[in-house]
Amino acid sequence: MKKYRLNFLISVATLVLISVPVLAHHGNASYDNDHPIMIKGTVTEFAWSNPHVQIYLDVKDDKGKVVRWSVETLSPGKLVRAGWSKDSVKVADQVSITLIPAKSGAPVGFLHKLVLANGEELGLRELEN
Amino acid sequence: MRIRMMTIAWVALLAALLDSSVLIHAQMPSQQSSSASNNSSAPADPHDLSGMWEFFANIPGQGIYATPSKEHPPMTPWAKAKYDEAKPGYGPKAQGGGNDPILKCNPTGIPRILFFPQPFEIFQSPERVFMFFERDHAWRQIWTDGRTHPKDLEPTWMGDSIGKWDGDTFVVDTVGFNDKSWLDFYGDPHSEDMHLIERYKRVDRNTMSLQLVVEDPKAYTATWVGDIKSYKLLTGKKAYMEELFCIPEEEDAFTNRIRMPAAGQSPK
Repeated sequence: MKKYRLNFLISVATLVLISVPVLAHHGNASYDNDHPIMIKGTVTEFAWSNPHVQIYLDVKDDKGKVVRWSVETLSPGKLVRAGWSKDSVKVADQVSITLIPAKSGAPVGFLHKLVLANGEELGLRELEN
Repeated sequence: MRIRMMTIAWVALLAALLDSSVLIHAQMPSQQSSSASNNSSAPADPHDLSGMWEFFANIPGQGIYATPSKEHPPMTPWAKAKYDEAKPGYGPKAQGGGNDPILKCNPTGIPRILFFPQPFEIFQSPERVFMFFERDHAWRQIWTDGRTHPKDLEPTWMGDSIGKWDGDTFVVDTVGFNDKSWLDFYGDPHSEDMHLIERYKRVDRNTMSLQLVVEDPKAYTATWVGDIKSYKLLTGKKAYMEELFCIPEEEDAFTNRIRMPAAGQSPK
C-alpha cells in the first residue's frame, strides 16, 4: 500500500514536471492545464499536417465502451526537432498518451507524452536544456 | 527598374542558397562553426547574428511568451474598441474558439511573428539583414546601407525596416505597417502609425536576446517597452525549418476536428 502510494506520488510529480515547459509554450485556453491524464488505445489516424499534427485513437472507457479520442500536438517542424517523424506513429499502433484534456469534457486533449508499445517515448521538447 | 531587377536577383540567389545546405555552409563559415558546436561559452562574433534561432519559453530568465511584456500600456479609445472585439486564445482574455486573424491564414505580421515558438533564420548580406521565418514561410529585409525610410510608404504587414549597429546591439527601426495584424497573441492592436524598435544582441554563441519598443500614440498613451526575450541557436539536426504555410483547408479541418470540440462547440 505504501509502495503504491509512493508510485502514485512519483507519477503525479512526473506529470507536473512534464507539464510545466509545455504549458509555458501553449497556454491554450481550451485545455485543463492542471489535470493531465493518461489514456491507452489503438491509433486510428496519424494526421501529419499543419497547423498541428493530430493523433486519433480508440480508447476503452471504464465500462468497456470504445471512445474515439482526438489528440493535438504541435506543428510537424516542431515535432521533427523533438525527434518525431511522419512515420513515428502508425494506424493500429497501441499507444499510451499523457495529455491535458479539454475543459469541455469532449474526448480531446493536448499531448504531453506518447509511449509506443515498444517503450519508446516521444515528447515535445526540442532543446536538451 | 534596375533596383527592381537587383532585388529579384537577390531573392533568387537567396532561394538557391536556402535550397542547398552544402552551399549555405560553404558560404557561411560562422554559421557552420555555430552548428558544429553546442558550447554556449565559446566566443561568437557579436556582430554576426546569422543562424537559425528559436524562442523557448522554458529557459531561465525568459521573457513572457506571446506578448511584449506582461501588461500593455493604457490604450486609447480607438485601440480599446479594437481590443474589445478581439477574441484571442491567449492572455487575460483567452478563450476557446475566437476570432484570431491567423486562424483565417492572414499573415502573422511583425512583431507578432517574433513571438512564435518557431524558428527563424537570420542571413546577413553586405547591405541587408534577412529574416526567414518558418511560420508563414515569411521573410523580411532590414536595410543596413544607411538609407532612411521612404516617404509615403504603402502600409504593409511587415513594414519598412532599417537597421544599424549600436555597439554590439543590432537596432532595427520599422514603420509603414498596416493595422490588420494583431500586435501579439493577446489580441492587442496596433495602428498604421506604429513605430517599432527591435534591439538584438548576441549574448553568447547559442543565445540572442531581443527587446521590443513599441511607439504607437494612436493605440497606446505610453511607449510599450518589452521585456527581454531569449532565442536559442538551433544546431546539428535541430537546425531545421519545415515548409510551414498556413493552408485554409488545413486550418478549417483542424478547427472542426480539434479546436471546436475542445472548446465545447459543435463543428461547422
